[in-house]
Amino acid sequence: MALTDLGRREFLAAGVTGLSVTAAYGAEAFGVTERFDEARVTAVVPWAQGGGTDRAMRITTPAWSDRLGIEFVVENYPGGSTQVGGEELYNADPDGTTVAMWNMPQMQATWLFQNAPYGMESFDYLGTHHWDPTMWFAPPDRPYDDLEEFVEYAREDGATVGITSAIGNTALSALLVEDTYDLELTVVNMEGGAEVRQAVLAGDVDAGVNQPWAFNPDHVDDVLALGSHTAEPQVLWPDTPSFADLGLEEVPLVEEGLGQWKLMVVPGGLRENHPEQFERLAETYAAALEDEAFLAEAENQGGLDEILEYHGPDETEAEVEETSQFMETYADVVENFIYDR
Amino acid sequence: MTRITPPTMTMSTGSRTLEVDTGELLFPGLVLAFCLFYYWDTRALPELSMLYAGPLLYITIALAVMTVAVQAVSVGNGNDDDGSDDGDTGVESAAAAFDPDTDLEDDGEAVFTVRSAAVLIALTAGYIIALEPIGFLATTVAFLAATLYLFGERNPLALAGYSLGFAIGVWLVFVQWLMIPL
Amino acid sequence: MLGVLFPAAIDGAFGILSSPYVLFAILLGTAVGIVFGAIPGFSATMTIILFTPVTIPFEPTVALIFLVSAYGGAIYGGSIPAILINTPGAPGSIVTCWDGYELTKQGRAIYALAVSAIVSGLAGLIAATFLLVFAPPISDFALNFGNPEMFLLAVFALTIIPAAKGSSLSKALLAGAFGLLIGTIGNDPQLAQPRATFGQTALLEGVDFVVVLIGLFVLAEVFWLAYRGTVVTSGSTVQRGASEVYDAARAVVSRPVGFVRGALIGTFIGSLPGAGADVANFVSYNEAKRWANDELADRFGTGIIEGVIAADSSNNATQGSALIPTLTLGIPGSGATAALLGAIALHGLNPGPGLFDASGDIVYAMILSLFVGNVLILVYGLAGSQYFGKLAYIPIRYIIPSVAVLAVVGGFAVRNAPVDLYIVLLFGLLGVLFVVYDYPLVSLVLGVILGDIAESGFVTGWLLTGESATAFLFNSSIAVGLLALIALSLVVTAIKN
Repeated sequence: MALTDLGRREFLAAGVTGLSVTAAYGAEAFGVTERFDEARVTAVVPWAQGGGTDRAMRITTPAWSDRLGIEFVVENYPGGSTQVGGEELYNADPDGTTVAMWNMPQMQATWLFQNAPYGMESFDYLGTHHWDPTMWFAPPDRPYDDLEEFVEYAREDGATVGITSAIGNTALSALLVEDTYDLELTVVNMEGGAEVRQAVLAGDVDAGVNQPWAFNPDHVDDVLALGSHTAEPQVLWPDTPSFADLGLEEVPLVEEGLGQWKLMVVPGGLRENHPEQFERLAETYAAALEDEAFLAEAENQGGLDEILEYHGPDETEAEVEETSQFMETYADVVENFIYDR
Repeated sequence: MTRITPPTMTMSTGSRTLEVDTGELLFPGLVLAFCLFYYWDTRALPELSMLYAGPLLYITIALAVMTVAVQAVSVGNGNDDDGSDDGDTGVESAAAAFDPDTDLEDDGEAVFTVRSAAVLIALTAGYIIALEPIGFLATTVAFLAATLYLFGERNPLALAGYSLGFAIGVWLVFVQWLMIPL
Repeated sequence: MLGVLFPAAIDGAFGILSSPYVLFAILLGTAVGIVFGAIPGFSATMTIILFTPVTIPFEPTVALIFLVSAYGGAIYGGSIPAILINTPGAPGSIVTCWDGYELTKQGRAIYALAVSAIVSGLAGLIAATFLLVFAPPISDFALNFGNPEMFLLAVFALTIIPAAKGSSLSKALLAGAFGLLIGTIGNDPQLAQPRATFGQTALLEGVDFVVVLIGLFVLAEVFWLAYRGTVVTSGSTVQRGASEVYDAARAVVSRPVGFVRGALIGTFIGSLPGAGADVANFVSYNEAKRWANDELADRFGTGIIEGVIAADSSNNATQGSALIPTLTLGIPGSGATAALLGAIALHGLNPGPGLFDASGDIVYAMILSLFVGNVLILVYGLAGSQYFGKLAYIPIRYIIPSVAVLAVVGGFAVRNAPVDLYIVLLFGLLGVLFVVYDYPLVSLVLGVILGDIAESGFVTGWLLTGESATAFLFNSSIAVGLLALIALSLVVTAIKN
């Protein structure tokens, strides 16, 4: 009795379940569930939520979305010094539904010094966003007031220098200063801008290398600004000499200025295969950066509006090329740092 | 039937016997295998990269060997003395809470067995593997229905209703609202 | 005290709090937090991460107060499944299982849930008071924890587990060391060289501890449930109704020392950078056991209410104090506050020493919202305990697949990486192995949680103290004190064994 009854029930159960699964699969396969998604652009951020890149992206997308008429969804893919997010972008379809805000020279470092499967040609470039110069900070109680005096101090008995990431503009600046003046610096990667700020505020390091916007201009009175790795003084941090002002032109990249670019990148092939879509994205992006609500929001974000610097697609690509070249030029400095310690 | 016990191997040389509880070897063995891979994978890295991980690797290997010596191997003529120590250490631990003999419900229909647990593990593995190529909704409905069936739900309406309802609910909340790209 | 320093800000804060939108944000945030915290695998950290994007359209005050309320609710919510089905909803509730689940097996789930709600809400209020009054001095002290001290704190946390759980020393240390080793997977902190990543890009960032937690505690428990078949021992009568809630109130009132001790331990540990509810509940439970007389100490883990009080008074107390370094210095005290810090920055506030000056009214409104939120935890918890209790009687055949699906969704949501699902599965199997062979699961999880703190503390400290062992170990009197505590807990465990 139980056998036949069970058999019939099992048959029914299997049938109904099979139908449900088929229905669900059919719904997905025929795009019924995509109905909600059709008007969305994925905005990849290769850093965690709340970081500088994340904040810059999130204040940009609303104005951009208004002009493009499509919703943006910001997705964070932190890790591997931006390589995780980089591969996410690399693997995305070049159909105009994925953009990413990346930063240079971190971006180049992932394919030059890490095993990233992509390169400069794997992407198309919509435009730059802002430029934050590399700057040296120190605790206020130290016997030096600028980088020139710091170099003298470090020549005597060495010094500890905190940087934001293993390979990037802060590491390069520290290593170039060390190399140029033949110093014995203990370069310590603090793994992030906030950590460098903390180490400087707590006096754990003799100097910290960061960018002024990333360091947060609210701390103007708490630290000593030693100098910026540029020819002209930067605008964000008051009364800070540039390396050129201090007579440190011997350090490479002072003339060009060593800093961190943030730029908008899309999967490679979009410009060639869908030129009108690429143009539309690029134009609306440029317009979004002029948007008043965006500019007001940028001002709220620690004066980001002061360092905004937009270049169009072609100029941006040239900038990427140039950065790639100098990263390759100084590859041995970075590689010596990694493999000889 | 309810419990699979890995064998205890006994070796004797003369009057001495060496007992090895092979089950106790499982975790230390896994750890040692992982350590071996870790060593192989990091052998070419700069010293600074392994400043902390290197010593930690050796400490872990030492602890694994020590655990094998203390927990799995017992030497002696009589074997009870060494074994009882191990029993004491576990009294307060989580295993006590999971002791199947005291908890097993006797409801006639034996659906909760080692076999069904193994099938559940296989189903979960299959679910995870199929998730990406097939899609969230279909795999989730299939997984829910299969698991419900495995554990004794036979009412077709409940099977289909719950599988579809729960899957769609989770999909609406997490995929549509919270935008997890599943 | 601070009211004198920032009278205008406090006035502004009360103004913000009296807005109906803000009150609704607290009501909704707390409820959402409890529900998500109660879903096994969804920690307070994940709840904040998942809801931060949802809050973007709202103004900063409403959004941040919603997130802070959800944070508190989630810590409390994590204890509900811990008590009912022996599955901590979040790392801060692992210890709640030990006595809470035993009470459920005795049919006293509602009693345990009510006690949990009372001590969670009250401890949260105590910690919120601390936050309001003592933010400046406590943050000064926490700032003294440099790199060597953070490393030693991590080692100390690992050595107290065998002492707390009465496990075999070698098994606990092996599990802890293995956890630390798992924590080193990915790019190293100094030179960003990949270690043991199996060629997976997502693993460059390392193995996320929430993923490990979901595998070890959620999936492994589901696998066990499939074999064990039941949560509630058949035949035990279930105590129901108001008398259980009354008993619960009496149980807390008659044990003021245990409750206050737990709340203070939670407040202190929460204020330390990097250590949150997950560490606090272990320390609190261990201290409760140590202070107890021999007869009572032996009964810890068998379903006594002292165990639930110790665990749940400490974990909710961490929220208020974890916000101290977060709000005053911009240093997150835990994973959850790190996520909250991201949300604060996202809404245009600059975390750090300038925050109180620049946005004092919003910050004080967040702090004051904790008082309302914790009263709500008490209210929701007590009102709900009679209904939550019934959750334990949902047929197991429905719990197993539902929790498994949520574990998979949660494991994926941590960072949208498919490889994490395989890690969840691996640790689910490892969890079964751990239970069968009596390894402490918590040692492994804590090893992974503390891995980053330990490694960057050790390496950075080593480089900054001139690569000298003595300079590192005797960096400060705090370091020496931690060394003494580590030695003490090793000796105690060795003697016990």
